[in-house]
Amino acid sequence: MLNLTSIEQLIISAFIGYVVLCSGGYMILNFIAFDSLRHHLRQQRTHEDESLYSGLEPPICVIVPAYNEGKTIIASLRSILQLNYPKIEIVVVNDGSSDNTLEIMKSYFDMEAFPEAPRISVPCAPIRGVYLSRRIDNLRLVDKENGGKADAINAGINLSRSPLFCCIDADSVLEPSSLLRVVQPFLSSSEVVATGGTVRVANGCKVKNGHLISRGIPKNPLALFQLVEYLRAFLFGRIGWSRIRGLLIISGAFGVFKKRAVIQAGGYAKDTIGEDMELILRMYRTLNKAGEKHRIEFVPDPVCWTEAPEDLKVFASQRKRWHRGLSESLYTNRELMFSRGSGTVGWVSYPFFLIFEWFSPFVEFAGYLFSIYLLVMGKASFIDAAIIFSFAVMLSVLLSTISFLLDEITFPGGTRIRSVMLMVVVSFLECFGYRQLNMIYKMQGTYAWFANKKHDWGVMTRSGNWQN
Amino acid sequence: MTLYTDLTIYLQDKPEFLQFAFWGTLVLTLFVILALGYLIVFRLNFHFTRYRQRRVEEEWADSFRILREGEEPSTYPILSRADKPVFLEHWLKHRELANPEFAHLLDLLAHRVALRNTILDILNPGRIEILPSRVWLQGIAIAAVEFINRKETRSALLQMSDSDNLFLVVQSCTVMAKLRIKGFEKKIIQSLFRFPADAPEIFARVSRAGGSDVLHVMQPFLDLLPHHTVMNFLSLAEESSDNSLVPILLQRLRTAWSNEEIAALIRTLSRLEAPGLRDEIVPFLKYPDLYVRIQTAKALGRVGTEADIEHLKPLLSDKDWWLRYRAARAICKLCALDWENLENLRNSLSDQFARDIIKHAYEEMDWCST
Repeated sequence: MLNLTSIEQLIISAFIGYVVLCSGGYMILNFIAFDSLRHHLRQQRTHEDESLYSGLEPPICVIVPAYNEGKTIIASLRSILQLNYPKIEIVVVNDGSSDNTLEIMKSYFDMEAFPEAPRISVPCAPIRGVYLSRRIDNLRLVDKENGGKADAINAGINLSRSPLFCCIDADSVLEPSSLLRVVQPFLSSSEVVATGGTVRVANGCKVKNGHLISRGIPKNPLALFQLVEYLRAFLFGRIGWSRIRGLLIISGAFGVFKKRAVIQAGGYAKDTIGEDMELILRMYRTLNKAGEKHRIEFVPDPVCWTEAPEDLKVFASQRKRWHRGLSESLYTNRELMFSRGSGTVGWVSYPFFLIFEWFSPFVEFAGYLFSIYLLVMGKASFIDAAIIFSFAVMLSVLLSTISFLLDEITFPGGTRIRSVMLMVVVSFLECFGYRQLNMIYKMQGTYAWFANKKHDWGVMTRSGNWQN
Repeated sequence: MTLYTDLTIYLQDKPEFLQFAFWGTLVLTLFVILALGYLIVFRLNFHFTRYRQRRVEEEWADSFRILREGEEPSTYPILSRADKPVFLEHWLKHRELANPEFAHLLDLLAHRVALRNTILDILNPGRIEILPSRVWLQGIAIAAVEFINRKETRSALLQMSDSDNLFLVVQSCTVMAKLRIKGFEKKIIQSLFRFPADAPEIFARVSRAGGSDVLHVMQPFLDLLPHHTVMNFLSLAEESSDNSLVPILLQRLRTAWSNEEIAALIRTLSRLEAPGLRDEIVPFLKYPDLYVRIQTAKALGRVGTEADIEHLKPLLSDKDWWLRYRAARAICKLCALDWENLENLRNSLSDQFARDIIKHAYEEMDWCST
């Protein structure tokens, strides 16, 4: 018999309740995602490929912010240049790189200085110059002083000529039809102000001349853990949220926005580190206030491949940044919660993110401390702790397995069955070390935000091994 | 098993939450196994189908090649009943690509292997056990009716148009429109109302197959169907170049309320070179929506006169680059790319952006024309 006081029993029940509620929420999202995916695939089956070329697609500007991306910028631009889209302009923003990004771009694309006066609609750091390519007429390079990613995108917005813009990271590779697919919601409804596509881990894949030639899974264990995490986040998280109109994030690595709506919201915020989420929340807030109908959608099949960090230091810095970004975004846009007319975003997604995303590392940490306390005080045996831990582990494994199943349904035969089994094992192993590591970084990120520490992007080293 | 027994005994006098966690873990493990099992079955199915497809394709490749060259092979590979649905898929692919001169040889082959029965087996549920992807095969069988056009296959096709599956409905309506089967209009309109959310897609596919005749059939129902069906209607009207649709479209332009629809209507009408369009669209140059103004500027470039340059001039200073660009191109077109005229026009403009965009558009168009 466990020798627990009623308060201790209550605390344990609260922990279990939190885990069940959190996983239950995700499970519901899973079901919604499953239904949404079924509907999406059913519709896709009746679409002929040429129907994507309706000719009514609005012109789009692809903004590529680049800071010390000398290793990957050419491969990334080659992939962008091969996109199937009728009216496209590409604006590469060199954000005061200290490496040879500018020189590589200038020599590879034969760029020359072009006097162009941008209309400053959203604030950005001073622009040093604009270059036009002699080889590719729709490619422009903007050289500006360093101001961070958000500032670089703002510069790109000021220089863009199209009503839509797409934001992708310089180290990402898009599939050729990605842009056409991600733009479809804009054609279906004028209420759509932003859309996003699936971002997948490219480590282990092979890219040649901007084309993904083979899919694979990374050999690096850290990247493998992230692969599982990305699949979970995109394949049921975002699809589910999008279906109930509660999507709070469009990944900075690949998203399309209506320029007018972004300018109306004030552009990307330079003083925050999670600028992608912050922008979405601010857009919801601004458009709500203005009484304009708006929708933000997620399309599952346009895929963008991006490199996940394989180095623990870079990984730590990325995770701290993400959680700090989450804290900043939620805090800055706190008036969205339970506000009138905020719909699913204000009444479901925002509180869910606050309780089960932002607050989760603290609950997890408190859970570990409490378990240690019970074990040390002899109030619980290792078997008791193991049973409760197994329950949490199996919930996490089930969620991951369902996302693998959704992946199989979306891209049948895409991943080798051996790799799927390996990912199931990884989803089990992630509970022994990776999760805890993540928890610590998240808490550090929250602390950094709370203590108002000066933030920086850190050095995001790219191996570029998967690109040739 | 012993571990399980030991644990259940251990848990007998433990608090409820611990028992909940234990049983919860077991149930969750079971779900994980089920999900993995489903995933493996899904994958095996996928591989088995691909294997069968490849085998049939390899066995029949030479025969199909010879038939499409207008000759008859001396022997044909053995075709088992189970392979017939996959064979049908390959036959259909070759039949669609075959030179019309030699297509009768493929039809003869279809007759010899009784593909008509295979189609009926696939389309009539219960006659044959079809694995793994029944709907996909049914779609192929429906498409094959276009070439194996018999009374029984046509009636099976009509039955399929009542299916609850959108894909099958779209496929059967498309083939019905191609073959102009009696009463196909009624079936198509029924399906549009049965699947209102997917009506645009059904409409686009069917109209593409049936041509402008179908557009005329659909026209009275446009107001009742979802908004985006209209967009598809317009894009098809544009493709069809059918000038008899102009009065309907002009009437719609006068009553349309959605920005996208107005923009699309202006574009379609200008492509159809509708008479009297110029007077109708000039007021749209001051329309609040950007896309409408862009399409109007473009349309004026196509159907306007030199007098419209004055209407287009204010757009050259618009804050949106795309509109400035479209207005500049339209002006260049209306001036017949005469640089002297354009230079005079540029000199009369006070806005630097307007002057730049005229030059940009002229240089681009001049370069393209040479």
